[in-house]
Amino acid sequence: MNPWVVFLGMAAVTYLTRFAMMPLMGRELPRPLLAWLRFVPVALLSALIAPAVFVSERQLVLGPQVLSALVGVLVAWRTRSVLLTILAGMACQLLLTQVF
Amino acid sequence: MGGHMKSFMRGFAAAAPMVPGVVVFGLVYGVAARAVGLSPAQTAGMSAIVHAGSSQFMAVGMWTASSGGAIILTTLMINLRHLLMGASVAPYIRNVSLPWKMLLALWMSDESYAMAIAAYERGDGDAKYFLGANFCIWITWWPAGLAGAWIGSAVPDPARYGFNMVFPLAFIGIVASFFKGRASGVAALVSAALAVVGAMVLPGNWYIVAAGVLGASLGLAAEGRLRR
Repeated sequence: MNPWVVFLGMAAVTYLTRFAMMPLMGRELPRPLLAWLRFVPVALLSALIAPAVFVSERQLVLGPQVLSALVGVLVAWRTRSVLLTILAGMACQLLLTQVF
Repeated sequence: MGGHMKSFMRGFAAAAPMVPGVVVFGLVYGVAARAVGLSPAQTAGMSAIVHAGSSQFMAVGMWTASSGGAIILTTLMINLRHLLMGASVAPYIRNVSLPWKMLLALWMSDESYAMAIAAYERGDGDAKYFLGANFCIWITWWPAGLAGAWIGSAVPDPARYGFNMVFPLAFIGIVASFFKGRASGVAALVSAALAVVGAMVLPGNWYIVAAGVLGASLGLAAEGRLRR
């Protein structure tokens, strides 16, 4: 698929989620749906991260990237800073792959 | 009209403290997008028309292995949270015309929404303020992505310098910002475990959506239990 077609599709569905509720006259979504929606970003993003760290070509691979990711989790948990998480994790990755 | 312009500028200024964070995030996105083979124009173009950081990172992460359909569906899932944002501003923009509502939806971001809803709750917000805050983030976001793509082009072998880890690490940081208590931990762990298994045994990339739906559902179930 042409990348620009993918971008337009992404833009269209994103716009839909932004606009859909705006014309509502202060009415609310059903409560269970609201509660469920709060967990979707965390679950979805975790489903993206874990295979990038643990799986390579359909095989479980426990390499240096697992340790770097764990360092990232610790820093993210403690600081809630995306930048510090990236810097600490990359420092660990460089240390493991270049020095040892 | 002077008053309108003033309101727009106040919204713009209110969002300005978010700019350094947006720039850093945009640079990282640009480097990551370049590393999977997107051109600088495509990298910035995605930012300009999609304007949703987390889902753009996700698209970059899925880019080489996934179909366009899977990327678009995952984008929809990640951005469903915008429904909550839209619903919460709806009462404040009841008297705003439809074209204005459509304009406000165009560049609404997590950051500018936060500033606008805070102003509305203070009794200090209006549509122009909201638009000003939205515009401030948008006009920063895509140029930062472009700059990141140029930086990415200058690094010959990204994996050698650990740049292949930028994407998962950025996501780990983003997940932490979405975390709300122990139930979020359940959602994250369940979803991560399912996705690892899915990546090993299932074809394609749809396991991401499946793991996300199941993880979110179990997180919700866990929240009920943890409360009791």
